[in-house]
Amino acid sequence: MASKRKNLSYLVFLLPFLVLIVLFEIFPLVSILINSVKPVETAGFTLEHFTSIFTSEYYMMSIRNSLMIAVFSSLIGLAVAVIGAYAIHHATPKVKRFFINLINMTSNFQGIQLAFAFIILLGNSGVLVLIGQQMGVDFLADFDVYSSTGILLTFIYFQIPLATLLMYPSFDAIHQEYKEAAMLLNASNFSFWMRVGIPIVLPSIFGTFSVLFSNALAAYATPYALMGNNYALLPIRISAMFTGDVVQQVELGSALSVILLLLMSVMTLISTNLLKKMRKEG
Amino acid sequence: MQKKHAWFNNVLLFVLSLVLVLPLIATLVNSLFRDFTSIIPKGFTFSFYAELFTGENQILPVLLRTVVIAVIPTIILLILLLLAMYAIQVYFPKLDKYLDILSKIPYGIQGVILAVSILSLYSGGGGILSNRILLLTSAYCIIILPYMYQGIKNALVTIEVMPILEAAEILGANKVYAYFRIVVPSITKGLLATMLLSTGILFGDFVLVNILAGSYYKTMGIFLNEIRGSSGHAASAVSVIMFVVMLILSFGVNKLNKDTKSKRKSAKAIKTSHSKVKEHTNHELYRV
Amino acid sequence: MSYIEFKNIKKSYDGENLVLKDLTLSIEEGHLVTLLGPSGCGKSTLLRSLAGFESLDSGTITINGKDITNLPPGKREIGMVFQQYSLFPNMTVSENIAFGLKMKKLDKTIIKEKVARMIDIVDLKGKEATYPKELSGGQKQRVALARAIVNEPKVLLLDEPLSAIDAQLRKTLQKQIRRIQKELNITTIFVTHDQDEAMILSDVVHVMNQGKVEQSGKPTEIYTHPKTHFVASFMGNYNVLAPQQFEQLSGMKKDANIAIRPEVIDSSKTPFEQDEERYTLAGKVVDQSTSGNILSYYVDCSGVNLRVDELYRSFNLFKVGEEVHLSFEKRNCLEV
Repeated sequence: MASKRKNLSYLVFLLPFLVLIVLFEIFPLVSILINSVKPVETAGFTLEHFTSIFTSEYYMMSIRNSLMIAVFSSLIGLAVAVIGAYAIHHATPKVKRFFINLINMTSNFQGIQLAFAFIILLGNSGVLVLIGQQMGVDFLADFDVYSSTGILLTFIYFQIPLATLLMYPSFDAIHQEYKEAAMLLNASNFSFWMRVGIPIVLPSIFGTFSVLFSNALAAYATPYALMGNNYALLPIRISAMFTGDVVQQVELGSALSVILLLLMSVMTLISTNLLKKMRKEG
Repeated sequence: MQKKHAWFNNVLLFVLSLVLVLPLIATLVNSLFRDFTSIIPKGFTFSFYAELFTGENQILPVLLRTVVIAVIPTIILLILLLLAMYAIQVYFPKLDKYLDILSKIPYGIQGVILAVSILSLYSGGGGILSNRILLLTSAYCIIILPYMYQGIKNALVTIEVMPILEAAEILGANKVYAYFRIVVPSITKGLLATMLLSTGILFGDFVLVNILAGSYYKTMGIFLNEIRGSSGHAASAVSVIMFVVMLILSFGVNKLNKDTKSKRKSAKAIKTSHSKVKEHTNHELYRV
Repeated sequence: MSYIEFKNIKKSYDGENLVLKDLTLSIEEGHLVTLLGPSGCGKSTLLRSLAGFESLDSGTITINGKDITNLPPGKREIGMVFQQYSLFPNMTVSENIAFGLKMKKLDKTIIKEKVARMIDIVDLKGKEATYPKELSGGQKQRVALARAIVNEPKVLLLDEPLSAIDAQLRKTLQKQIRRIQKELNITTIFVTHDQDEAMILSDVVHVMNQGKVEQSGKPTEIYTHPKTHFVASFMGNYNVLAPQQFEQLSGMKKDANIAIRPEVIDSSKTPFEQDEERYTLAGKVVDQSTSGNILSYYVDCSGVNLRVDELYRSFNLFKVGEEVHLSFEKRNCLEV
C-alpha cells in the first residue's frame, strides 16, 4: 500500500536514536559478554577467565567482600529505613515534611562527597577520632575508616535515604481507615500489624532490598574515594582491569563484569518473582 | 493511637536527621574553619572559598565544564527521544514496547560496567569514536536514558497527542510541524523538569568521568578528588559548592513537577506520582 | 447528485472484521445530518474517513462531485470538532482560532478580522487571550467550533462534541450549534449515540448499526416508523414482540416482529370497549418507574411484557400487582 511505504520513510526519525543505542548500549553490553568467554588475543571460546576467577583467592575475596557489604549495608539501611518510614507515617505533618525534605537533600550528598565527609569525621586525623582520643572513647579513637567497617558505614549512610524514600509511600498505603476498620473488629494493635500492616509493607521491603543490594553491589565512587584501587570490591577490581596503566586485563575484567551483572540479575529476578507471588496471594 | 505516639516519632526523626546530616555538617564546618580538630572549631574564614575563585586552581572553569557536560547530553537525548517517540507514536505504535525495553536496560547495566565496556570497545580504535569527550557524552546519554524516557512519557500523557495532531492536520498543518510547534511546546515544563533531573544526575557523576575521561575532561567530581590531596579545607569548600548546585537543580525539578502535576488527571497522577518516587530515588544509583 | 457521497465504503482495522460494510450514503448541501448509533457501530470511523484520518479498503468519497478519497486531511476543506475538543494547550483562544488561517498563509489583518468575527459568533468576547486550561468545558467546545468553521470549510464534522458536557449546558450548546449551522448554512455531520440529541438537531438522521446504515430519514419519520428491529429498539423504547408473542396477545398471525411504542398504549382500570381499529387486552402491573414527566408501567399480559408510558398527570394510577386494561390502535403496530 502506498501509505505504508510512505510511513517507512519516517524510520529516519528513529535512526539517530537507534545509532546511539546500538553503539553505546547494545554493542558495549555484547562486547562484555563476548570478551568474557574469548581467549586472550585469539578468537574462540573459553571459560578459563571464569575458572581462574573462581580458583583465585584474590578475586573470590572481592566477590565475597562485595556480597557481604551489599547484604549488610542493605539489611542495616533497610532496618533503619523501616523504622524511619514507620516514624514518618506516625509523625506530625510538619515534621513529616521536614524529614522528607531533609532526606531528599541528603540523598544529593553522595559518592565521593560522602566519602570525603567521612574522612573529615573519621579519617586518621578526623574530628571524631581526635575527640575519641581526647575523651578516651576507644571505639572512636581506634576507628579506621579505611577498612571494611569504614566502607560498610559509608554504604549504610547512602542506603538509608534511598531506602526511606522507597519505603515511606508504602506505609502511607496503610490508611487510617484500615486501622479504624480493624479496631471496630476488635483487633489489637499488634494483631493489626501482623495481619494487615506488615502484609501491605512486605512487598515493598523486598523490592527495596533488591534495589539497595544492586545499588551497593555496583557502588564505585564511595569506595574508590576512600581507598582508591586498593580495596577488593568487584566494581573497583573491574575498573582497574580496564584502566590499569601497566596491564589491562580486558577479558578477565569482562568476566568479572558478567559475574556482577549476574549477581544483580539474580537478585532482581528473585525479588520480582517474590513480588509477583505476593501480589497474587494478596 | 496516632496522636499518642506522635512526639516519640518526631523525636526519632530528629535524631535520625541529625545522624544523617552529620557528614554534611562536618564538610560545611571544615570548609569554614581553619582548625576542626575538636568539637568546637576555631578560626572562622571564607578564605577557602575565596581561594577557589581567585587562586591558581580556579573552580569556575571546572564548574562551567561540568555544567556543559551535564547539560549537553540531556539536550541531545531530548531531541533524539522526541524524534523517536514521534515516529513510534504516530507511525509505528507496535514498536513502543521495544523502545520501553531499550530505555530501561541502562537501569540494569550499572555505571561501572557501562563505562569499562565503552572504554574497551572504542578507546583504542582511533578516529572520531575514540574521542574521550564524545565517549563520555554518549555514555551520559545512556545513563540518563531511563529517566529521560520516563519523564518525556509522563509529560506526554498530560495532553492528548493524537487528537491534537489530527486537529492540526485537518486545519492544514503537517504532523511534524504540529508535533514540534504544538505538542512539544505544550509540555515544556515537564520536559524541563526531566532535563534538570538528568542534569543533576550527571553533575554529580564521578564513576563514568573517572573511568572514561578523567584526565581529559576535569569535572567537579574529578576536581574534588584531586584537590583533597592538597587541602582538606579547600576540598570541603568544593564539596559544599557541588552540593549547593545539586540542591538548586533538585529544587528546580520539584518546583516544575509541582506546576505540572496539577495539570495531570487524577488517575494518571496516582500512577505517575508512584513512579516519580522511584524515579527520584533511582537517580542516586549511579553516583555512589 | 448529492453534496457528499459515500460509495461502497469498506474499512477494516485488522484485515478481517469489517467496521464499515459496503456502506453507501449521501448527504444534501446545507443539511445538518446525524450519524446515530451505539458505540462500535462504525459512525466515528465513517466520520474519520471523511476527514481523511482513516484510509479506506475500498470505496470512494466525493464532496460536491470532487473525489477526495485519497486527499490528505488538510486538503479536504473540512472542519472538525473533536470529542475532547483537542484545543492546542500552548495557544490562546485567539491563536487557536487563527491557526487554520495561519496555515493558509492569509494576511495578518484578514486573520485578525476573521478571528474577531468568529469570537463574536461563538460568544467568547473577553476570552481572546485566555489559555484553554482556564476555560470551562462549554467554552472549550465553542473555541473548538470556532476553530473548525473559521476556515469556511465545505463540511463541518462534529464527533460527539457534547458527550463530556453536563445535561443542562448540553441543551444550550445544542441550540447554539444549530443556530450557527443555519446562519452559515454549512453542511454538517454530527455523530452521536444519544437519540434525543439526534432528534433535536438534525434535518436527517442516519441510524447506523454494525457498519451499515439501518435507516435514513427525518427525525420524526425514524421515530414513528422504524423499519428494523434495531432501529425500533434504539429509538425510544419500543416494545418489540416476536411473531408468536404478538399472536399470543392479539390472536393475529404476523410474519415479522411487531414494534409498539410505549406511549401509544392507553391504559385503564376498566375494560375498553371493543373497537375494529384497536387491540384491547388485560394484564397485571409488575413494575413501574418514573423519568421526568413520564411514568412507565411494565405490564405482564399473559406472559408477554409490555412497557406503557403515561404522562405524569396524577399520582400513580396503578399499583404494582394491580389489574390493568390496555388498548392501542392497530396502525401503531409496526412490522420491523
